[in-house]
Amino acid sequence: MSVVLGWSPVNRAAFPLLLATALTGCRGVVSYGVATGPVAQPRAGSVAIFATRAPEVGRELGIVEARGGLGEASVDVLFPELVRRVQELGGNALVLDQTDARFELVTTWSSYQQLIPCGSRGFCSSWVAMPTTHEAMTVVLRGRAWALPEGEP
Amino acid sequence: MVLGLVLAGCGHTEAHFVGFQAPAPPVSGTELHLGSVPARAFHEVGLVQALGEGDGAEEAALLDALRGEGARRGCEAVVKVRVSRGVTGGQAIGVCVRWAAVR
Repeated sequence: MSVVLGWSPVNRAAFPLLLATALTGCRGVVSYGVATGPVAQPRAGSVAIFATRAPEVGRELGIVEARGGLGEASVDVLFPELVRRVQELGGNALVLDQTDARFELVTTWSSYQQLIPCGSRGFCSSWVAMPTTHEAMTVVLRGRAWALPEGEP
Repeated sequence: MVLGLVLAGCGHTEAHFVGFQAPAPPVSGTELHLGSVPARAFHEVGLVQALGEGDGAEEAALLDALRGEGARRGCEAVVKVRVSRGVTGGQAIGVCVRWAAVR
């Protein structure tokens, strides 16, 4: 399927809109932290990591998640973001519960200018927009912000 | 058809690592524990990830990349390994560990 956009003022406006739509498909890293108990003050400093089990002491503060795709799906990008969310919730430890990847079909539109001979000595131009569907992978890291007692682990 | 053959051979795998503590020296071999955590005592060292596209997203390619990166990063084992694959891409990820010294 393709859509031919004639070079009218209306379609001049449509081109930036299509471009913006295509660009907003690149969302980069998305993250959040949600408190599940009493809200604690954000803190700086080191964050202990528990990637295979939860600690036996301390308490859960909230749920944190970071996800990324399109070149930002690597752990060296996502993990610091997850740690930052733990600090925002006032935690000094991260319990990593889930490391997963999701796959979905994404349609993006690309456009190009087409020149067609017309009249006796010239070309007419028009913009053609074409959809492209591809698989997009999103890596998701999810865990819990945790408060360890001072001096732990 | 030629284009099809060329594309069929396409693919790549890249490995990533994030450390939880000071870097460890490389090891000659790394065990992979798919989906499980061994009973043997260990220290968590970091998170290892392999991302692949095309042929590089085959399970064998992802696990090879995970094992190779694990060895470079000093992982005596990568545990809790999880493999996720779509049509054109895939990921293998796990926790890099070193065995605790036996007392």
